[in-house]
Amino acid sequence: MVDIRKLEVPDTVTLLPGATQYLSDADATPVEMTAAVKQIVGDLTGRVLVVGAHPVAWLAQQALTCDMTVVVRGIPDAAQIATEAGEAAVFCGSLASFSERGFDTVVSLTDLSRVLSLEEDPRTWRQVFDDLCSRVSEGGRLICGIENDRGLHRLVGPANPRSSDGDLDWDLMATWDRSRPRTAEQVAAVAEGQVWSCYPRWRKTVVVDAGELSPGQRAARDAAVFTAAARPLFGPDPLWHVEAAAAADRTRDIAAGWLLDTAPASRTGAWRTARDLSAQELSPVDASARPLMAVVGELLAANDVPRLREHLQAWAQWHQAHPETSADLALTVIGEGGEFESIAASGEGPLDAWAALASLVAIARGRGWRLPWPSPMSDETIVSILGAMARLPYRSRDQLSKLIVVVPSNPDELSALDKHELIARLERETAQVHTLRSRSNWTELQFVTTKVQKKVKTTKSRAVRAVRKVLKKALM
Amino acid sequence: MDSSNHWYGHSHILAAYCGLPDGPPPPIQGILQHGWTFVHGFGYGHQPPIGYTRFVWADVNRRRGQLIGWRQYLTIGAPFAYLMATEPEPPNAPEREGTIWYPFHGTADFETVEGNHQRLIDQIKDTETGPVTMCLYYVEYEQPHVRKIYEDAGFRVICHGNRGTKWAGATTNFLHKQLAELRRHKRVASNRLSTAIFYGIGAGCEGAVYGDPMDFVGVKDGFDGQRLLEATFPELHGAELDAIASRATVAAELGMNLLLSPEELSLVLGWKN
Repeated sequence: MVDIRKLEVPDTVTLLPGATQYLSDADATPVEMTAAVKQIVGDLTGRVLVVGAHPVAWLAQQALTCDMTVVVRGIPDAAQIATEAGEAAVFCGSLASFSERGFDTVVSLTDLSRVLSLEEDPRTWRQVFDDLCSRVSEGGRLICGIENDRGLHRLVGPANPRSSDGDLDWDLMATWDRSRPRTAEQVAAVAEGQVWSCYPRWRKTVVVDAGELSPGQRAARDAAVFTAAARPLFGPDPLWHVEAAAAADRTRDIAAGWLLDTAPASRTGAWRTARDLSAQELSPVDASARPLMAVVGELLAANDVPRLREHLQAWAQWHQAHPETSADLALTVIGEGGEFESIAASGEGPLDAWAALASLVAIARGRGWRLPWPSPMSDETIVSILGAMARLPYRSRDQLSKLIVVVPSNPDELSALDKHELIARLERETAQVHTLRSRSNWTELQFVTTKVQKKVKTTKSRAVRAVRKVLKKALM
Repeated sequence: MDSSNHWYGHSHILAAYCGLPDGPPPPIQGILQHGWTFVHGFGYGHQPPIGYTRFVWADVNRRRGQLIGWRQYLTIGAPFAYLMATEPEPPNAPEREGTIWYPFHGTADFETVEGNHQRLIDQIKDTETGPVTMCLYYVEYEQPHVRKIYEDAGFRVICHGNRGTKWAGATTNFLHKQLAELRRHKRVASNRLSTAIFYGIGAGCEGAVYGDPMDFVGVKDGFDGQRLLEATFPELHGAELDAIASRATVAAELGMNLLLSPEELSLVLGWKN
C-alpha cells in the first residue's frame, strides 16, 4: 500500500495529461536489462525515445551516448529518472499526450499494458502500438516488448491477471483484447522485423531466440530454458511444462514474451545470459540431447536406481576427462546415444562434481521431486549416496555440508505457491510426518523390547502392555 | 453511515432520484465522494472502512484508489449529475448573463486560503466583461471582512449555504441553489480548478480558471495539486476554454454518462433489498 505523500517533481520533468501521482512501475514492472536482452537492443544512438519503465541505471548509461527522451506514466518514476539519468529529457503522462515524433529509435520493452496511463480511457493494444509506431522516423527502429498471456510464468504463477489484486495489478487493456498478439507468429504479423522469444520470466529474460533455429540449436535452446527455469529452488515445478513444450517442439509457445525489433542487427540464433552475466550464443548440440538434470530427475522420480547409477557414472567419467568444463547437470546435455555435451559458457562453474550433485539435490528437494530415499534423510547423506553411485572420490560429511544449497523460503514469479505446490507440499509433509512417527514408534518399540529382554525395572505384564500400546500407535 | 454523505444535500438528491419520500434519507451503506478531487476520490480525513463501498463519481477515481491499496470502489456518477438529470433546464429559461466566480476556498476542518483579495479582484475586472457574482464558501462568507472586500468591489456576493458537519447544519438544498445560480450565468470561473468549475461547465456555463491561486495554508501532503493540475488538465485552465474539450472532461469527471437507474442505485446504496 502506498502512502499519500507530498508531490515532489523536479523542474526538469515535464508533466503531461495522464501523469499519475502514486504510480511507480520502477520496482514491479521493468524488464531487467540482462545480457541476453542487451545483445538485442545494443547501444542506442541518435534521437531515441524510451516509453515506459526501464531500469534507471541502463537509461543513465544510454543517455550519455544518445539524445534520449523518456516518457513514463508515474510521477515517482519520472522524478527518479530525472534525478539519476539527468542527460535524458523526461516527460510524465500519457503517451497520447506526448506530441513529439521522428525518433531514430523507439524502445518500449515493458509490455504496452504498462504504458497506458490509468488517468486515460482504456485503449486497445493495437491503438497503443500504432501510437508508438507513429513516433518512429522513416527508416527508424522500434523495439517493442510483448508479454505472452500463455507464457511459462503464467502457467505456474499463483494467480492470473483477473484474480490477482495487488495495487499494481492494472491492465487497462481488455484482457482478451483480440488486437494483442499472443503467439510469435502473431507478433511477426504485426510489423516487419525480427521476433525474439524471451525465457523464462518476463521481468528477467535469461534466454532469447530468433526463431529460425536448426534442430541442434533448438536442443541447446531448450536445455538453456530448462536451466534457467530450474532455479530458483522453491515452489512448483515449471520444468514439467518446459520439458513438455520442448518434446512437442513448442517451446516458443511458452516464452514469457517477445521482443519485436523492426530494424534488427544481423544477430540470429539463440543466446543466454551466463552466470557471469555475459551473453553467450548457444552452439548447436546433438538434436536429440536433453539436459542431464531432466533425465536424472526422471530416474529419481521413477526410483530407477540402477539406471541412475549408470548415468551418474558415465557423467562422472566424462567430466573427469573434461575437468575444465562445468559439471552442472543442468548445463550438461545427454544425447540418445549417451554422449555428453556442455552448453555452459567458458569458465562457467561449478567445476566440482560434488558441488553439481549438491545443486541437483537442492533442486530436487526444492521442487518437490520424488526421491528413492526416505524423506527424513539429510541432504548431505543423499549427496554422499549420489557421489558414491558416481564413484567420486570420498568427501567427508563436513566437507559436503559446505556444499549444501539452502532452499530459499521466499517465492519468486516462477515459484510462488500455486494449488499444485500446496497440494504437493501437504502430501510431502504428511509423508514426512508419517515416516518420522513410524521411526519414532519403531525406536520406542526397540527400547521397550530391550528393557523386557534385560528385565530392567519392569514386570512382564507391564512390558507386554507397553509393547501392545506401542504396536497400536505404530499401526494407527 | 458517514456524515459526509449528507454534505451539500447529496443523500437527499439521491433519495429523491430513487423515489424515496421527503425527509431524512436512510443511511447509505458506504461513503459518497463529496467533491471533485485528483487524489483518490476522498478527502484527507476520510478513511472509508474496509467492507463498505466507496461511491465515486468517475471511474478514474477507482483506478487511482487501487494504486494506494484501496478496493471496493463503485462508480456511480456525481449527485450533482443526478440533480441535473432530475431537474433539466427548462427550454424557456431566461438568457444567461455574466460570470459566477468561485474563489478557491478553505475548509471547516483543515485548510485556509490566504492571499491578496484585491489583486484577485483586479484580475477579475480585467477579464470579465459582464456582471460578476462572487459566490463565497460559507467558511469565507461568515468572515465579514472577506465578504466586504468583494462587496466593495461592486460584485454581487452570495453563498449557497452550509456543507454541514456531523449530521447537522447541512443546507440540504445547497446544490439546488447552486444549480439555479449556475443556470443564470453565462460563465463560471475560479482561481483554482475545483468542484464548482466542474459543476458550472456541467450545467452549461463557459468555464475559466485564472487569477492568483493564493496560498492553500494547511493543505495536507498530496492534496495540493496546483502544478499537477495545470499540466494534466490544460483544457480546464485559462480565461477562455475550449468548450468541446472542457465539456468532455467535465462529463467524464462527473460521471455524467454513468448514472445508475433508480432501481440499481437503491440497491447499491443499501436502500432496497
